[in-house]
Amino acid sequence: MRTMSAIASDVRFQIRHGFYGVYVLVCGLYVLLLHNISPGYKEKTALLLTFSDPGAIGLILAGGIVLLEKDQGVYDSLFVTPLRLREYLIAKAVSISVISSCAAWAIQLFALGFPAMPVHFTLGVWLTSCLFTFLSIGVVTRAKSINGFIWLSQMYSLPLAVPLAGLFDIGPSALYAVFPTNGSLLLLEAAHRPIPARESLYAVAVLSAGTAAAYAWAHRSFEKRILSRVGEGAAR
Amino acid sequence: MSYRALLRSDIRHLAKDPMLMACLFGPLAIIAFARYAFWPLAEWVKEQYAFDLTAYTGFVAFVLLTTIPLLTGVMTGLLMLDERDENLIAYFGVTPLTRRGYYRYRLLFPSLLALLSSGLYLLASGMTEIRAESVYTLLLLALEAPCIALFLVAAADNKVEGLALSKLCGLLFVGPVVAAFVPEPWQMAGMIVPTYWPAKSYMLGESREPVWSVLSFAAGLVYHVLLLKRADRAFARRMD
Repeated sequence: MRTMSAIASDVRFQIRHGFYGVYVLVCGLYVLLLHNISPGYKEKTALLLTFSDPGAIGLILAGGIVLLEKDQGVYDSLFVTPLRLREYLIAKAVSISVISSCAAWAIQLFALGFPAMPVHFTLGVWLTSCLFTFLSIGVVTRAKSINGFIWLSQMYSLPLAVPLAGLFDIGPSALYAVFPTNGSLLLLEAAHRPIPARESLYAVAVLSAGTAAAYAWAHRSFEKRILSRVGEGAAR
Repeated sequence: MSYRALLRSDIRHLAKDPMLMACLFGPLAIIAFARYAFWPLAEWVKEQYAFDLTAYTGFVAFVLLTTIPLLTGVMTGLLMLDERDENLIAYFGVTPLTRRGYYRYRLLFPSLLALLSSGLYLLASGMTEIRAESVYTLLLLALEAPCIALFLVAAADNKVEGLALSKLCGLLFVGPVVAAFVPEPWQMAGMIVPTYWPAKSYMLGESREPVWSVLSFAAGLVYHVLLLKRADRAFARRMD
């Protein structure tokens, strides 16, 4: 119940700060771009766009939200309520994955049509978004300014972009098997072609494992670097 | 606090804030990419996908060039939002620097950086020709960076909104796309995007149409000055 209220409150916050409005424009631009790309490249471009934008939206936004909350001293009062850190983190990830899923579906529907495997596609966007959100929260606990955070988040997320090379047939595919984002790309590909059950299982497993690891890291970092300092003013 | 003190503090900050370093080294990375990676990449794309990227060298060169003021503008905007969220601007306002002095100083930085980095790009990228018309492009790009920074601080309430709005700055890549690919009567729609004007002036210069290039520059200059004035007023209202 507390988690649900936290999710609803986060979604309201995102609407109030214009995230949804911005994404309507950004999606419109992507749809326009995809309509003007030759059919041979359309699916690969859509996959890249969905992965790098709606998929990874949390990488920048989650950290920005945490920085603002830190500045406003929100944590001084938030964590004296019954809300647990676990619930707070899950609410952040789920609320951001709502906007990710809406944007990814809008791009897919308006530019390419109904996905071949809608459940796989949605799961791919959802888990990818959660992975990047947790990563972002882990990173932001180490940053002092918004620009420093952007820089750090790019550095930390760079390894997750490695499987993109596989999309262009660079190197053997086995090389990318351990990257959670390899699972993301496979599941997002399910928008364009049915993927076999074994591949689906692998994709969900590797992506879930990556997301769980990112969650654990974010939880530990937040506890150590922010919660332990609550009460020292703006929890800096 | 004076300009000199703020400059000293920024230089100290430079070592601590990696993003400010990125503002300096990001354009250098773009230049290095254009010079050393574009041509091998174009060859690879041709082999793999039978697509000749070199036919679009002028367009790719301008898209990379657009990234420079975008980077410096967004970073400056976010830095100013950070300083506003921490009430530092109010503090600067009561020092001899004054609030107006503070933000003049802040906006001068991305303009100069964009001007110098874009100039270096034109000289060293190996993708562009230096022509007299390049000066128009440089001047418009130098105005682009403070426009972006002011847009962010004028439109955003805080850094989170600034981050969301910075995504919209990606729309600025539409300007070169329209200038390069959209047929003539429809190009009118692209005139609203600020980056359309430097792109148009640059591309007209490349296709040996100096008169149209200077006219595009003049129209772009008026448009950018109007945008700056408008954003300046909006920012001043927000500060009061």
